Amino acid sequence: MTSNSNLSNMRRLVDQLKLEASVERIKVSQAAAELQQYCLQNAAKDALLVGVPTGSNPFREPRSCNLFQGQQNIRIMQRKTYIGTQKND
Amino acid sequence: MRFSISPEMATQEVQPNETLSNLKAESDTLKTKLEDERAKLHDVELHQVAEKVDGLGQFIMKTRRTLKGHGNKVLCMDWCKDKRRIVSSSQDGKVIVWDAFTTNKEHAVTMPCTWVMACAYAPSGCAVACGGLDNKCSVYPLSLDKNENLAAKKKSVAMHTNYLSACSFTNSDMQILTSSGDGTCALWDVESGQLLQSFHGHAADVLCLDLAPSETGNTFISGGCDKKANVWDMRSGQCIQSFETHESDINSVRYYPSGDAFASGSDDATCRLYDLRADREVAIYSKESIIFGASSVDFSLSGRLLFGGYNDYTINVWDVLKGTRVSILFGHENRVSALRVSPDGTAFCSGSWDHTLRVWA
Repeated sequence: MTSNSNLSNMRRLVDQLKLEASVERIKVSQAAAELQQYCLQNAAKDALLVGVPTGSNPFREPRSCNLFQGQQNIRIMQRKTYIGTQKND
Repeated sequence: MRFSISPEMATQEVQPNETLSNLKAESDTLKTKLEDERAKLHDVELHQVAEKVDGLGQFIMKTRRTLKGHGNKVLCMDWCKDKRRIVSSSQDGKVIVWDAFTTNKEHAVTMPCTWVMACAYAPSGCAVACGGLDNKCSVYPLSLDKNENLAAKKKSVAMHTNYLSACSFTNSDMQILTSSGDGTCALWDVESGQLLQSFHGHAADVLCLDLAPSETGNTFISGGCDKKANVWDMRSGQCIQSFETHESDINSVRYYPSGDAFASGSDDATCRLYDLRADREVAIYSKESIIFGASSVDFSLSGRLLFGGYNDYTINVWDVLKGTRVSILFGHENRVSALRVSPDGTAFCSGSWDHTLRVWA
């Protein structure tokens, strides 16, 4: 039984290698040239590479203080509750 | 293609093609043939082609946000397509969804297992998938109601026979691709939990996977403890290309933005670039001073920069074309375990065993 499974494993390996050997390949010089071309064509859009004009990268903006934002939310909630009770009257 | 049979083999009683030793000889011949075919086309090195390209200037990249809240090692993270939300998972079983702009936590789920090694955001932004030592991948729809118990709506999708190492939604919320310590990858239907395709070929744990950019078709890559990186056809389940040049476990694989190449990070302290159409490794990113494994890699938007998170707590930034290191980023106080560039390329996020995530820009 073991020899059969070894045999079928080897057969599968040989088939797999035949498949991989038959892959169509291009020269490294051509592949490298195309990788380079892609990089250069898209370089301008790459914020981490070239940086972006100040103001358009949200992470580079100083963010508003969490505490302040929290206070703002509480005030908005309070106002909504007040309006709610007014309507019920 | 038939191979000539040597006289000794022809005298055996059994069909010459079928004995174990003959198949072994045939496979050895094929392996040599494969190497020869690849070598024939190796006419130049990538960095030689890139000699005429301008070098990169000084990089000012700093931690812009620190996400604190995990109680233990952060193991994985993923960005939402909205470019501001992040999901992260950790050793203590917690999965947290953050708003990276404000650093607020929007959702938190406690998984029933520890070591949640994989997490992913759904393309719609309405769900997250995660899993780890539970051998499963579960999907949690994200509710707008912060008080709602997310765990109640959990859907178990994938079932492996060993830990879940990575997961990713395909182009929609409907299918998930998983990789596992059981040596396989699998494609699942989220709604029914049905196994749509399984991918066998790794000889050991599969540690990572990445889907091809949607324009380039239905393939994905996986990397494993067998030091191999495999390229798979999602529809047939067939392994179409395989690369074995790393000297240790491959922890991370990531497609080049054009889909024609991919990078890998390994415990052998190197990152490597493989071109799919040349069918070979075309660059190695290493330095004698870097001796710790690379756990996670990702490309910048144009593919010119490769970010690698390492087990020596640093992030190295490589010039993909020239093969040189352009920057080294310090900040984490323990291993960097996860690293992803944001969907629009304006920042990248790193997760670490120091319990925090950092957003760099």
